[in-house]
Amino acid sequence: MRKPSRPEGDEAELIERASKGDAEAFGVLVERYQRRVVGVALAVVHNQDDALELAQETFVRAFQNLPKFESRSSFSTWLYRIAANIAIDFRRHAGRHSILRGEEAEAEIGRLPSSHGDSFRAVARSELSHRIQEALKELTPEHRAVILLREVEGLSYDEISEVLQCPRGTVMSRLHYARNRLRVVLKDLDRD
Amino acid sequence: MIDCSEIRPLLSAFGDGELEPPELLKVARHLAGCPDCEREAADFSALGAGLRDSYEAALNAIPLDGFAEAVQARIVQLRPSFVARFQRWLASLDDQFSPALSFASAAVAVAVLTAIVLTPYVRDYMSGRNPQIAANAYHHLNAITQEPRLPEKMLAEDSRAVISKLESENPAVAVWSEPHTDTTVIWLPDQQAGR
Repeated sequence: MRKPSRPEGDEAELIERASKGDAEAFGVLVERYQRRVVGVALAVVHNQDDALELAQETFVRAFQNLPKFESRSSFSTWLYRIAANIAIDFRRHAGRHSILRGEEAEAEIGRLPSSHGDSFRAVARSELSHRIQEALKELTPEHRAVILLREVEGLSYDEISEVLQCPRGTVMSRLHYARNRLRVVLKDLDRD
Repeated sequence: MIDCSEIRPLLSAFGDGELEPPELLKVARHLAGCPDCEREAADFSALGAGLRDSYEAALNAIPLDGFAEAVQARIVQLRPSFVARFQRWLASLDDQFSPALSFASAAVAVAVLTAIVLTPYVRDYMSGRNPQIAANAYHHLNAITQEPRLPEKMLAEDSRAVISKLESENPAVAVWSEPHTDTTVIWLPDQQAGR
């Protein structure tokens, strides 16, 4: 899996120039990271148009705060943190994520897979991809962010902890919950 | 054998390679003998592959043409804060000149600011509003010009004697009057009083 590292070589020079206001140097960084930043935003908000707008906002905010960037951490991790914060704040204000309480939460616990449940792995990979997109809507923005940063961006638990500004233990428990939740939802989709 | 309820919370981290060696060993041994937990671990792995496929497909469907240009357009409209502009100006000096010259430039800027701030006090000094400073300034000036006249009005913090004007044509006699207190003082040296 990809391992983020401290800026080296030409990237360090680009960051240095961009922090002094060089828009052209920053443009190179934008082209290099645009897809991944859009991916982080998309994971949280689950809407293409919103993801593009939030990704643009991420880069604008990054440009404004570049003089504060400390090169001891990776630039991508720093960028993801901005993207995740903006996207999660957007979702929270929009109030579109679901929170299970009371009877709904108890029903959810009861739906956890039994030891003899069938696996969804029999589903064709393309169909699984589509079902996963549907299942992701069941997760909160925070859970979607953590599972994307791990599964797609390949960040370690410590890096995810730094991006989302939460303890490592929280990252571990959110990942475990998110995977179990997706597993349950996918099995239900398979039964339907 | 370890209970499955103790192992399941660790399956996610086990697949991610994030467990410490003792826990890693414990889970690996359990999976070797528990088909249910082994199936759950395999489900997590398949889920990861499905997530990557899913996001790749979703990202590929988003048109990114013109994205960088749109970001640049927004950045151009930004007006950096004064502090940011000043920092960037200093940084550009570092690139063009030696660090010593940059420091000297900053020192000059500080000196100019200091002079601007202190100018009102400088004016007060020069206009003689401060009595002690004015008195010292007079004595220095008198010594230079050897002018016998006193200033028309000299105010002192000690109000026991306020000399407004010296009136005498005889150098051996000093006469001065103070209209403010309706007082006239005639000063005679001892040899004059003896006659």
